[in-house]
Amino acid sequence: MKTRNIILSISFLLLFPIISKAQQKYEREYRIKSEIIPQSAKEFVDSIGSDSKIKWYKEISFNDVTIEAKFKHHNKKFSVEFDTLGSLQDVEFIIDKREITPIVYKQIEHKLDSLYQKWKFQKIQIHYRGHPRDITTSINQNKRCESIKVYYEIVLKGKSSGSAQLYEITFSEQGEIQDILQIIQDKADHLEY
Amino acid sequence: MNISIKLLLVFIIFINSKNIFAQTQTRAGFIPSINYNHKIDKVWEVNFKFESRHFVFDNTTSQSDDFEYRYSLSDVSALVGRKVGLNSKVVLGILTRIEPDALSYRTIQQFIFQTKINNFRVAHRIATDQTFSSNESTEFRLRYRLSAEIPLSGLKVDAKEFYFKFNTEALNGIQDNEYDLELRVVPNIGFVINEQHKIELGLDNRFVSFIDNQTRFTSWVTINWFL
Repeated sequence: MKTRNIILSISFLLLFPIISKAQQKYEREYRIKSEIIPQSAKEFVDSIGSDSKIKWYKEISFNDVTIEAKFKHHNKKFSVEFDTLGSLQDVEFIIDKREITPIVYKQIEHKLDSLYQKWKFQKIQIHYRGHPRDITTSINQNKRCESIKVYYEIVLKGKSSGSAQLYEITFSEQGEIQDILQIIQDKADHLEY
Repeated sequence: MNISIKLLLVFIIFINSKNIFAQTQTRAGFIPSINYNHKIDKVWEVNFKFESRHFVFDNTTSQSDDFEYRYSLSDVSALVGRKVGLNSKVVLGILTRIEPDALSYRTIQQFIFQTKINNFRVAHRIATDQTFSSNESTEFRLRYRLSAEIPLSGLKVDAKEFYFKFNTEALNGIQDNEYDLELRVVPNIGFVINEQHKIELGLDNRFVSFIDNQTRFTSWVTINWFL
């Protein structure tokens, strides 16, 4: 830690005078050590079971601070969100479009066709909210408990008029649109020019 | 991979590049640059860049002292980019090279597209350029550059965070019917000051005349300011 600080300080010694005190709205995440994670959060992740190293992050948004665990379970990428005290907020994991019930998938397709001239999935996540025990049971037995709320969070490339944009659309379990967000992509001038 | 290991890797690259100094014709110096990018609307953008080169070491000449400051040149470029896909754009532009005793012009055509590998943002640039000057034949180049950005904290690079950027580029050139290959390897450490400003410190290693017998190595310390 100390070495890292020294290296970074030396590297930027000449440049730091212009690094500003600008205060801006932000949403960011930090990697955090598992030692500081509330026991209840660790226990919940253990109840699902991880096939990979569990990476913990602290996420700070406008009005919320949460803890997030990212890991793999049965080759699926999981993301589990807790509040800072370790109470479960939701569980998300990436699925294939074939894992959506055919009737619901048709409904989603129909809605997207009406919104965009062209669209293409980038990522589909299933999103569980409910009692931790019911969520664990649903995941481990691969059969959803009726008590939990299910959403599909879909990131897609959509073209309506003009250029293509990236969107995050949340669908209900029945395939009804709950929310549409346009994803603003980060600037990449330092990679391109 | 934690931040200490990432930084260690960066510095191994820096240190290794130093060893080459003793083995070949070598020049070293520094290049400060200012890179201004402006979005006109959803699809169009312009980019202006100014950079200048300064030598502090040169063992390719017969002068007794290899360590001597020498101003080399300045480049001014203006590019216009048009988004052609969600993550791709076509860029056209012109560069003017100002040397103490010469002036040359370069026309530039680029196709850039971005991909993502886990948390790494990767940009690919395929470019052609033509350099015109009054005292040399026109030089034609075809080049490919790969740039990868690796966040040093968290999943993506946010304001007031450091990142590691790695560029590597292969340049094929033809001038007077002679083909040449140049390779560039450029590790950088960057810092996002805020949404508008980034600053980078890097080492731009260039292997010129790669397939010629007389390979020349040039290493530049680069300081880039993106705004």
